[in-house]
Amino acid sequence: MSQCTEPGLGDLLHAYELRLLSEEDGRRFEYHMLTCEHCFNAVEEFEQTTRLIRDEEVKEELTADYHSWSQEAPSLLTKLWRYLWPKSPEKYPDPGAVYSPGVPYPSYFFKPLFLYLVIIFLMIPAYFGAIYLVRGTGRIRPVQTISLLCTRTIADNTLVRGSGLDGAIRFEFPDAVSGRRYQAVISAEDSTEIVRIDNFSNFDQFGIGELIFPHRLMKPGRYRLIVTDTAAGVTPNRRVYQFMIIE
Amino acid sequence: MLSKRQTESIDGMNLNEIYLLLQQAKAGDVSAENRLFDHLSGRFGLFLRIRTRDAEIARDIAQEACATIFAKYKAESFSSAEGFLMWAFRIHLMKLGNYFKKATRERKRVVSAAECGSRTTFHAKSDEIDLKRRLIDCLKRVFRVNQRYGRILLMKCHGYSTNEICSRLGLRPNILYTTLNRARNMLKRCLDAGEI
Repeated sequence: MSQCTEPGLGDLLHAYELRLLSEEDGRRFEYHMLTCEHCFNAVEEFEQTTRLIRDEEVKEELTADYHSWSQEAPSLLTKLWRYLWPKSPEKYPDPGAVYSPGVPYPSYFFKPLFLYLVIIFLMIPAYFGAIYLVRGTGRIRPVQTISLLCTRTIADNTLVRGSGLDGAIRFEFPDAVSGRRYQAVISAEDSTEIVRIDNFSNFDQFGIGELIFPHRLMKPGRYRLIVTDTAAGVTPNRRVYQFMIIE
Repeated sequence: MLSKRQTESIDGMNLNEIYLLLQQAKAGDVSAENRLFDHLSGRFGLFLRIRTRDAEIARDIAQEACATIFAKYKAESFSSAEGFLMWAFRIHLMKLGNYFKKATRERKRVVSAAECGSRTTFHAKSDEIDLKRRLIDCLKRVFRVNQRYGRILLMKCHGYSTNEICSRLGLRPNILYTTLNRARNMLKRCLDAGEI
């Protein structure tokens, strides 16, 4: 087949057949066809098909299920992605409106994937909060216990720092009155206060008190626990216990 | 006045040959005149059929235009074949315009509405029914490969102009034309050989 005499005009071929050219361009192409064998033969050969393309019945059939045949069968990955991130609603059957640049269309703000991400984002602090609640209040942790008596030697009252456990210090305070507030101070050998509790009242009915010495405060050395009944007046009831922390 | 070949094309006639035939026809050569008008009626008949979408109407308009040309061309002076063709082309356009005006006035047929949005007077024959079936299948296959073509075609059928289609698809007109031509080639291959 011969070549188009004016390739620039030859590009208008199918646009002319579909009547997509302006009146001026249509006339130019028609005039071009008078002398161009290639374009004339092409249009003439395709004339019947062109007429059928513009036929109402064909158009109806093509537009009836546009979405079903206009796309290849999606892969599983594509299906998953479309499920997680669906497209915004399309305004079918007006196909031009879908692709209008700058024309806002309602989109799915809460797309499933976005929702999942929000849920995960919220779950992380919720998880750590739950862990904190469980560990901070309700969890029973192992401790190492020593029982202090004023008469006992220091060698018997020893906490081991290397065990990694908090120390539960039980001590006898015979004159303890239930409900009264006492002062409990744990100080190091150089009189530095390590723990100070001004409202200590954790005594049982037998006058046995118990307090926790946190592991993070433990350092090897000698310590003293001084429990004072501050409500006793000028001569407060005061007892001193000694214990030791080793590595 | 016009032969049976009026709607057929005669291949291989260039501008020089047309001008030579024109000169011979003006000098009284009947065979040259017949050959020239056969060629012209075939050429003009095609675009009339494209525009009117009806072979009978196109033939009537072509006959009317050719009769006018036949009656007047000897009195006109043409310096080249292009001039003669342009003159003949204008006469065809004038006849076509007259037909449209008449049809609009009589409300028998409005060509603008004969585009995709309205029913045509096309009566399907059995071979055309088969072609239509194949065409629909092929169009669907082409649309899968070239979705832009599908959108253009649908937008055209919904009455969008070329400028509107270009702006909505974000295309330049020349890209639009190239897209259409590529899709046309695919469609033709599909119809001819059954594969894209």
